[in-house]
Amino acid sequence: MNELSRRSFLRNGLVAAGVGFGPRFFLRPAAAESASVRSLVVLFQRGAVDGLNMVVPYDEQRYYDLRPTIAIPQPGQQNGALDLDGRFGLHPAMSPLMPAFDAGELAFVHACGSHDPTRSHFDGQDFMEKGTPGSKNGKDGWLNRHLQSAGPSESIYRGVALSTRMPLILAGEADALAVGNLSQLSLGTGEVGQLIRDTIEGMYGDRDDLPGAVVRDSLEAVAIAGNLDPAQYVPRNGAVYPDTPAGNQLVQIAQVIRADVGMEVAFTDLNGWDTHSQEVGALGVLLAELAEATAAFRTDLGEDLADVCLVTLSEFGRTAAENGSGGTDHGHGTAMFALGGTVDGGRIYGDWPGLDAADLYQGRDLPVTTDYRTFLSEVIAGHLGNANISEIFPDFDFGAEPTLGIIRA
Amino acid sequence: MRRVVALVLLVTAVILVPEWHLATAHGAEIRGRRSREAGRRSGARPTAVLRTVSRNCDPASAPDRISPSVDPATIHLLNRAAFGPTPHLVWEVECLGRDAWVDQQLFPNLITDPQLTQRLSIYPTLVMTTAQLIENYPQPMPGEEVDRTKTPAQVLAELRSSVVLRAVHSRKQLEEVLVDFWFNHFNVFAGDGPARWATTSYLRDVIRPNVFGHFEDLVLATAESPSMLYYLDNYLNVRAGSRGRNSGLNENYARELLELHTVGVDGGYDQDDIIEVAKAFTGWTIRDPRANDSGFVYNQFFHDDSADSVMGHEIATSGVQQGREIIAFLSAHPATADFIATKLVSRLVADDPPAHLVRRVREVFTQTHGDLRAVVEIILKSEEFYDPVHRLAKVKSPLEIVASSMRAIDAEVQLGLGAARLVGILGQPLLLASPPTGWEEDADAVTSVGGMLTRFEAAFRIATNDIPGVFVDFDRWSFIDAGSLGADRILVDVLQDRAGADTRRAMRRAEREGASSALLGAMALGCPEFQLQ
Repeated sequence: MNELSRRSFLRNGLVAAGVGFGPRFFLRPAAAESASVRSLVVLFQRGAVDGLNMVVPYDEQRYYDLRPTIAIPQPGQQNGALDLDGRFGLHPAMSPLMPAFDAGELAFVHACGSHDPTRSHFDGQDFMEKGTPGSKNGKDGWLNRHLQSAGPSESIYRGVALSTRMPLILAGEADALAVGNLSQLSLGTGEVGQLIRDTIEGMYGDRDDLPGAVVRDSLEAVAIAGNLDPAQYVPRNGAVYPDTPAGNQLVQIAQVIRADVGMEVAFTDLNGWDTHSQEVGALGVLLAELAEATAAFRTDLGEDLADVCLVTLSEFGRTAAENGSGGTDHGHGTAMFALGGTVDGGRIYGDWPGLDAADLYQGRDLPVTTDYRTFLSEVIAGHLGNANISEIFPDFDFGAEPTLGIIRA
Repeated sequence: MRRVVALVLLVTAVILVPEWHLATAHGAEIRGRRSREAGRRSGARPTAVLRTVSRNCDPASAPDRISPSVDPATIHLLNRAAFGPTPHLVWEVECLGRDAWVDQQLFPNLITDPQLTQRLSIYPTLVMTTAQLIENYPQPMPGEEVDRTKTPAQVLAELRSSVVLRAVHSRKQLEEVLVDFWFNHFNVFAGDGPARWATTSYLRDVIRPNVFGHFEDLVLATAESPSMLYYLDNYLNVRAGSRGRNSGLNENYARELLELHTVGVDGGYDQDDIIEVAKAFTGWTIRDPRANDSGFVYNQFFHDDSADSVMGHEIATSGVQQGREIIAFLSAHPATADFIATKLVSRLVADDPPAHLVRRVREVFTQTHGDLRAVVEIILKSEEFYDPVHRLAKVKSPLEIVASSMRAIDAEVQLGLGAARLVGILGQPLLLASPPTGWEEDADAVTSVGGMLTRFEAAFRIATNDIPGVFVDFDRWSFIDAGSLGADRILVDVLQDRAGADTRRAMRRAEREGASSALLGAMALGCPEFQLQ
């Protein structure tokens, strides 16, 4: 630090120290008698995860024919899949999630996705987040429409995105906040902090533009929560979150859940699933990170998992056959999972179409036999108790779709 | 009538008429690809008629503060075509005239900037070839004790440092803005594998020399760059069976070439087109740069020559020419003109780009065969560009807020890494966007609760000299700490007359309550008007 950086922020010797943006303990005491709020955590695997290597149809010879160098071996072999139900096996890097599956808290939906034919990541992600496949109209996401139709809430924390930008999935009329890291939710302490907050409020308080609205939300978030500082957070039950993007994001979501600030939905995303080459190594690392972080999240929440459901999404799957460089190209159907106390787990859901040439979508990809909105609608209605599916997914006839039954009645 | 373009180098004003102005002035006379290539062979510099005129632009008369009565149009131009105003630059533009300054900026090779060269000289990697970088900054063996300044991480750190340093201090401001734009358009991720050595050359030799060139050349340069070949896997894209039993096509580059680089996602192609394009680019691969200057090599053995049409265009060539033919076809496609015009106008004018201007830019793009200098000129001299509704109507990106903050308070960036890291903390780590879209820059993408709070923190860190390698001189505001009125003065220095009544009132109140000049400076950088451009 040089001389100038120690300069006081206030004149006349009022305060000698710097501004102190540092960590603060969570200020608001947890509401002792609040009704338990059920919550949904959505984790988006951006880049199109290879569902066939995540949840492996090891019972099918065609799978091994299509993927001579990247297939996951059958259970019992070296680096083999972990058997789930006698037909499907989990990628071995996801072994930390096997206890959740065995406990009936984790379920997979295979051949799941969007019926829209796009193989563009960016269109695919937008469509999936908006919940309106094929439509480029509209600017709000289905997660936000859920909040709109779930009834009013006073909490600025009802929708939280662990993201430096507001993701499309949570964009819309309902209050939500996007924050890359909870440690950002601070504006300094003491007299200087108060002066800063007052000044910012004065500068932004009456603006009707986007920065004005966002800063007002920021001040509210700071006022209610103080600083939710991940460095101060102690996971329960011996949970250890890996120091990875997935671990760092899920530990913060667990912290918001435990802070009891009215969080109803949370969103986070992981990059890197676009495994066009050398997939064996790359996918293993990513799936291990995802599984370790998710398993730590489950351990940490403990009994609170009864009120929490975590689901994964990805814009589409990958080609059934491996490509010419030990990877897979953009495909169609993939696999998704749900973890939580209300999940009727320990099972693989969805109609399995098979991998024969005639069964593949456009002759190359795993088809979609379960619309991802069916999966989500069951979670929204069954877990969150919001039956307004037609408002959340406007072009989707939930009642006409076959049901999965993935949430316990 | 010939249009004249003024180029002023300090006291001497030089007027030049570039070759392409002559062509576009005669509306019907549209130069074709052939004449453009002939022109290129005769040398890369524009044909120019030079004459000197005297102007009262004595640098000694440059003030050290921006006058509050400066024309708001000048500030607007410098917010968009530069990384924000500085007192000297405002003086230069007011003296030259805005259009003449733009003309000067359109020919960066004619602008000398020895001070920047001096500043960048502390980063030796910036001028090295990829081969030299691999040689001098090798990957350490696991467990090996190494000098950290001799690793690939150092190469990337120097490159990232140079990006901020240039944005803050370069005289070729428009070039820096466009390098940022085009790197992002042809995004690569600089942080893994060979990219850590190759991105220096990608930015310097592939992107920078082409930002005022022809679009097709830019696409071709990226297609042949080891950076892009690696990032989008085309180095692995080969004829089925040619590299072993399971080898074959890789569609990654082909898809993004169409979707992100040229015609856009709605450009009218389908999966069959992707496969045809992928076939055409088989054999475009990487050789060890130490064995080959550029690192690019076309290997006929791996090439699949069976592609016969793309988006209705019959492929007439074979071998390596197929990829080039497709790039030429895509670059001339109307959907590309539309896609690029829309994206450039969004960047330089408004998130919701005015349709009239997009249409004109698209026409110029088409008529000039993708002359990016002509396209940028049309935008920056248009009525729409200067329409007051667009003033302070775009939210600054992380790089823009950091660079413009430092320019506004005359910060001296001696080492760029601290500032580069600050850009990352604000959400868009320089050269490290992992998806091929690059960083999004519309208001929704750069405005979030966490993001705005982080901007405030960044403003305080900048104003308290808490960014390593960056130095802010508070002497000019020291009178404020002595008790005289200062909030208004600081707002004038940072924002001229653009601060609204609420900001003024809040700042004056903070001053009454004892805020120091540093705190007031931070508040000025954190105020709503400064987040906008």
